Amino acid sequence: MATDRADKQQIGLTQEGNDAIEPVAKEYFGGSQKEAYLFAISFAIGADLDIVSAPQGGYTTKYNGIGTIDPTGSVRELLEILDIGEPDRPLATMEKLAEIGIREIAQRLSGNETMAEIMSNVVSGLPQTTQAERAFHAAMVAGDAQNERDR
Amino acid sequence: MSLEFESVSLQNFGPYRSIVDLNLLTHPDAPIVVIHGENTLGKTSLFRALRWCLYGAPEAGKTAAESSRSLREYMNRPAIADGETDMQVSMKFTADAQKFHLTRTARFEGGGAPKVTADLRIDAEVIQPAAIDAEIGRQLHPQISEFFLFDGELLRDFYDRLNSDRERDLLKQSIESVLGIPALQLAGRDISVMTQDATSRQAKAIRNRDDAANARRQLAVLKSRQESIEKDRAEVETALRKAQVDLDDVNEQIAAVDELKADAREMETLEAAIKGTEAEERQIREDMRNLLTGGWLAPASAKLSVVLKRVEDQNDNAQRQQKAIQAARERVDVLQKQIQGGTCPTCHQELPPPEEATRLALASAEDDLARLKAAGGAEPDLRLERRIRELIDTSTLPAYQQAQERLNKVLSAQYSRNRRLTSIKDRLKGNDAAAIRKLAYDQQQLESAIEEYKNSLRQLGDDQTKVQSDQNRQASAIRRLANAQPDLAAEAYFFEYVQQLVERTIERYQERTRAEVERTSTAMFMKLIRNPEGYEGIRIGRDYRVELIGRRGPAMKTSEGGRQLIALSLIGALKRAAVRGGPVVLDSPLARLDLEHRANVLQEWVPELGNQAILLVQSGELTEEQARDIMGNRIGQAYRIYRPNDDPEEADIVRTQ
Repeated sequence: MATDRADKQQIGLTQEGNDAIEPVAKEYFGGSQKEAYLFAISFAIGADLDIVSAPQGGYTTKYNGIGTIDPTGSVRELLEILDIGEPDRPLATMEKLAEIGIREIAQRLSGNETMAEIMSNVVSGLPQTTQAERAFHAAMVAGDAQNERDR
Repeated sequence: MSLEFESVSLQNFGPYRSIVDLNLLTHPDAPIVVIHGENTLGKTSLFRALRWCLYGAPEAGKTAAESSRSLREYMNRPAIADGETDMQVSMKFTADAQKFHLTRTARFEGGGAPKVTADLRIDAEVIQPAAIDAEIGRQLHPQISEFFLFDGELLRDFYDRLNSDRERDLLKQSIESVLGIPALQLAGRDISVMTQDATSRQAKAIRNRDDAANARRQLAVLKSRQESIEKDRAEVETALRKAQVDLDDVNEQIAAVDELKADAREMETLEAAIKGTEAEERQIREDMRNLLTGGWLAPASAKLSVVLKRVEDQNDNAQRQQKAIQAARERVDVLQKQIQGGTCPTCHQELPPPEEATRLALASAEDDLARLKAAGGAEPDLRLERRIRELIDTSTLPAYQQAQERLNKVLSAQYSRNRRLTSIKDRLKGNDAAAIRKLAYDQQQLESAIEEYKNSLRQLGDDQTKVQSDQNRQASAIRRLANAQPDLAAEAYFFEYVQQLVERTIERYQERTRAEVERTSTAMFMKLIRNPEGYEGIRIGRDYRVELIGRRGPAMKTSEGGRQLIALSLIGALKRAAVRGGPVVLDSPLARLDLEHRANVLQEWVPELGNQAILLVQSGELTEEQARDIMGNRIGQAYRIYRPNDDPEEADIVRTQ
């Protein structure tokens, strides 16, 4: 899927993506949005999310240049090995993957799934989270909601 | 008394989930029910269930109100876990040819004291709830319950208790109350009023003006004293009742304070545990963050694994292809060398000249080599394979899942602790130290006041006796005056006589009871003790002071075992004095006695107590075999308490005889 267009130099997220990444980064990545961004790219790949569904525009810059977000080249290598997106435009591909990945993660976390479950679901062949754990998680969420109401 | 227990049913009381109609009926020839149960299985729970059903308080010496808050300790915990809310004990018994069915239920809803209800039916009649306690008291008065619901633990300090004035007074009052002496004392007071009235009328009839004035004056003084005593007595009795109600209330609040203290201790423990767990939770979350940060590639690992497999297969194929080309190339080289001649590289012999077959083989080998080369095949990309392997992360997810499980456990424990903490904090609201100190102060004040009121009542009783004596003297004086009217004199005589009769009756009744308790306890003691010839008996004073009389006189010292036998004798005698016949329930009565004395107690003491004896024993005091050896066919029914599963909070009862 070669293209004549040059790759992006600044990448980021849309407003919706930014809204999604903030709580995820805070809760699961010690506030580091960069780590959450990389995780979202990996997740989008693992979950087979359709890159075509990513918004074509509306992104606000978060990272400037490839050296900021992928200094070791691991993401580019990943995209190359798995043949994802436009080969000459790795940064544009990363941006779209991060956008759809982070939205999906945020949505699933808000739907009572744990991060362990979300990861399990994309990594086949590894043990799945038990029903009891899911029930517990649902109960915890319900309990927290009740506490919130009581307060 | 013809009272006999028929059966008891328990639901969710102590370790018992459901015991339906445990048969307690006995035959006159076999009046003993033995219930065997090892320690901690639930003998005392069964014993306390009977007491709770009858009086609303599982433990002796406590009122139903005082027991209310601690009832939760008796509710079966597995039942609570199953969402059940009711604890119930039901007893069937017969008395005076009537069938009684008493049911007491405690419903636990919310965290406070339970709602307790009682239901009593006598034959087909439903008794009003307010009258139930009186009906039960009429059959088995709670004040003497210790004598027929006999807790073996009582033996330990019963003898010592009798050496305190307060306990002796309580015991004496209990016995006298059951015997009806307070009613006789009230009758005496009423007769005193009638005597006074008759004397007044006599005084009015006196013709000599001076004598009449004098008599009237003296009678007025006596009447005034009498009225003053009555007024004081009424006031003191009212104050006493109020103080007792207030004290009950304060005691209930203090019982709650004891719970609050336990709550405060538990709160400290919970807060420390919550703090410790918070640190653990922080650490686990930190570990999980590090896992995600370091293992961000993990979600893509499945995809990478698929590609790795494909690359591995490609590399394997490429390597196989290269090996085949290499083999074909070597074959061509050998055949070319054969055709070219020379020496064999292995045996270094001169090679024979080439044959036609060798030429054909070379041509075929060259064709193969050419075909393999034409088939192509990329070079194996081992760098790519190695790089993919480096990107695949198989350790993050299992580690993250383990951490998530640990976190779930920690959060679950923390959630339970926080809920418990919240409920404790709610309970502790509004209970500051000053309020608690005030309760203790109020309790002390009320107890002192009650003691003073009782002293006042005793003093008023003495004053009353003195007024009555003065009245009698005055009546005699009036009778001796001239012009006394014979019919009024006869009336005054009559009341004076009845008054004396009542007083003597009370004295005789008290003395007869004392003497009977003394005689019965002595007889029981002589049957129980190993060497009765060394003792004269037990002496019981008018104030119920107890002394052992030996061959060399009173105040004989005795051992711990001897004191327990005295206590058993005394309890047996008091039970017989207070309730004739009827059932007796004994919880571990033999625990502190040697085998010979145990046999004596079972053979000589138990049969004296009543027409139905229910023994709760553990094997340390009486095995099933020993029970059969000692009591033989006097055992009507035998049961064993057992644990139906490994849960120490559940027990059941099976009939063994």
